[in-house]
Amino acid sequence: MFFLFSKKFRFRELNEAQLAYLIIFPSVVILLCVIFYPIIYTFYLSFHKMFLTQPGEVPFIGLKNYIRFFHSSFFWNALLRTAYFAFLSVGMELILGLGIALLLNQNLLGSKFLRVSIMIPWAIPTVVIGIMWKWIYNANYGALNGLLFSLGIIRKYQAWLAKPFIAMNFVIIADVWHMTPFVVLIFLASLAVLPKALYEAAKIDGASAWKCFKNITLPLLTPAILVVLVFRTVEAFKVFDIIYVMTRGGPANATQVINYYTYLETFSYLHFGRGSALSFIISAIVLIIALIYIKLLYRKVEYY
Amino acid sequence: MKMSKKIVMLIISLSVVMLLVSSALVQAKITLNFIGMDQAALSPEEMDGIAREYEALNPDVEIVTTYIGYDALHDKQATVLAAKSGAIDLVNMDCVWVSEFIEAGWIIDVTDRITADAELLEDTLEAAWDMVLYKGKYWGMPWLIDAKYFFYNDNILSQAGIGAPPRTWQEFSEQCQKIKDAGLVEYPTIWCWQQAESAICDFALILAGFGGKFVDDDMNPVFNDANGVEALTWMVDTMKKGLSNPASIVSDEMEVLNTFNQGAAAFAINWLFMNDVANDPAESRVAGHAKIALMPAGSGKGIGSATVDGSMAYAVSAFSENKDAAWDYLQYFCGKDVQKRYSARQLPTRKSLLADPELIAAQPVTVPMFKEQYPYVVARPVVPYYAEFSKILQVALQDALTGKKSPKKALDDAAKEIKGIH
Repeated sequence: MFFLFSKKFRFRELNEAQLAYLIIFPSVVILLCVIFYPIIYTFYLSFHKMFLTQPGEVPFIGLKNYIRFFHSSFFWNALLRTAYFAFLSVGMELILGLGIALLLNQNLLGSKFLRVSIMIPWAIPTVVIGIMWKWIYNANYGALNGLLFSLGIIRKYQAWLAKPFIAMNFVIIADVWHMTPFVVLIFLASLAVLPKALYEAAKIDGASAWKCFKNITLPLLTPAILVVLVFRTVEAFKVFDIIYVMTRGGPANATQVINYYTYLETFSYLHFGRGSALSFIISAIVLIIALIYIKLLYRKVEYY
Repeated sequence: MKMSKKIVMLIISLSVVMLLVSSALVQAKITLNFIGMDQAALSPEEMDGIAREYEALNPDVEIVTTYIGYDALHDKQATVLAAKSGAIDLVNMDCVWVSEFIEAGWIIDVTDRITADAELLEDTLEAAWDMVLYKGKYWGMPWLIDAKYFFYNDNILSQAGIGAPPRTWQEFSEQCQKIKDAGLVEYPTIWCWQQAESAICDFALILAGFGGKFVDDDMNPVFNDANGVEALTWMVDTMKKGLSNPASIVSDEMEVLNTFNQGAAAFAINWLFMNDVANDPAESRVAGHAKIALMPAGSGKGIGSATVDGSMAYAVSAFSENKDAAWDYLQYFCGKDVQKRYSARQLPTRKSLLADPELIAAQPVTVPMFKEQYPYVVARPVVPYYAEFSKILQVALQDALTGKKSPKKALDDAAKEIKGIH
């Protein structure tokens, strides 16, 4: 960066690259302060013991925070629940999203209207969705209870969110409803650029719809699937707001995911050192998952 | 640049400068940031009304109010205060957080201000001072003295042929069974046993009623002794027999209030504010039928009654830029005048007001009930790691209530985990 002080530092004598560096320099400074400094500070804190109720004592304790979590069954249970949440919600979103995208791609009557209206669940803030579904699942006057009762499927109003296993799955349903439009969007964009010539050739050879899908659509969609998987798994692993609004981690910790545990440690118990360690563990896990996906799925499929 | 463009630029820059200057001038007003609880006690409308009254009396002060539900109150304030930000001037504290906030250095010592006012010192209830007294110093203004009360729907009770509300929890179970058998209500009672602080409040009063304690004098957990297990077993039994609404596991105090107001519960336990709302024809279907009785206790324990303390206090943030103005507003907000006029949803903390015939006439039900019930109040454990203690116990209660663990195992595991904190 010393060129800044050299004689060449007059706007007319800078080449394009140097001008580019100069222009992005203020933004980089801001990013360094707002993003990188907190990350580094959090990493630094994760090696210290910091209880906010005992201010002034921040001793260095090395890897004790991390080791404590690896020995804690609560941590592993939370991780397992998060994995279950991520796996199920991403799986459902992928299948539903692909199906809806394929349907919308057919440009049947009403497709244009559906393309717009299907984006609505994604546009609603997560907190609103959480509250909305909480009311739908309400045990005393919820819409789901009303619907199932009037259809005769249940004989008594059920307290859905009070049963541990059902609570987790119902939160997943709410999350799938929220995020499927995002998956639909990505698949629609990819489907729109698939070359029609391939399908015509396959039809001439007498391929059925399923064979077309399996041998043409799916392989060509692999980059889009990769994008969806990486994005959604990372987000699903970090899930917090919908759990906070719907169940607060209950009942009996059935929806206690790893990010909620981090929030508890940091803001409820005020153990900042442990919370920092947890957040780095989550980041490491998410990074590993993303790397696995990329290794497995990143291959260019060329048919022409 | 062309002349017109230059003029436009000039006008824009002048207006920006003027905007900045005028906003700087407007800063001459003192702004106080006030956090209020949007749940029991005073309603947000009432607290806004008090803020506007104060602003009318003190034109150079502006009060910005923010209302949060109880469950988020601790974490939201902790986040702001941990950042040493002056974004909150008036800090709302539940009695269980007082020692935590003091140790973290988030609120200021107000001993001098309080001891200077002899009338305030003398007139406020001792229980209120106990809340803000820590290591011999005063740390805030007591705002709310509250306990949980036992509400019943006298209409449903008389329809079931029950003469008087129960005096023991065993009698309570029998009356619930009678009401259920008569087909009057599907689930005769509803509790707030969600995985949050409200479950600990309910458990506190049931535990105390069965003769149990949270911790002993050395802060060791003793809630898993025979009395504690008996209390939790009784709670689980009411769920199994269908006397307690299964939704109790996910309900908070507002859900309890709404269910009772719909007439879908014969008994409910809630803070004092429910008396006002349940008997308000605009809000409740059972208006006029919501009555309060003394809280039952376990039978054969020699305990007359037991209820849990839900008191709250206000303190001035250590990072506030207007500490004196904040304290002045607190004096008004928790003062005799406001407490007397806004007594429907919470009772005053002043002895003189509780003996005032005008107040007694305005609140004929709650004042005598408070005097009868409050002597039986028990506090939740005063331990420095209360948030973690509470969360572990909440999960244990949920484990037992959902049938995941037996009551004894749930409590034993919780005690073991609590002993392992730090």
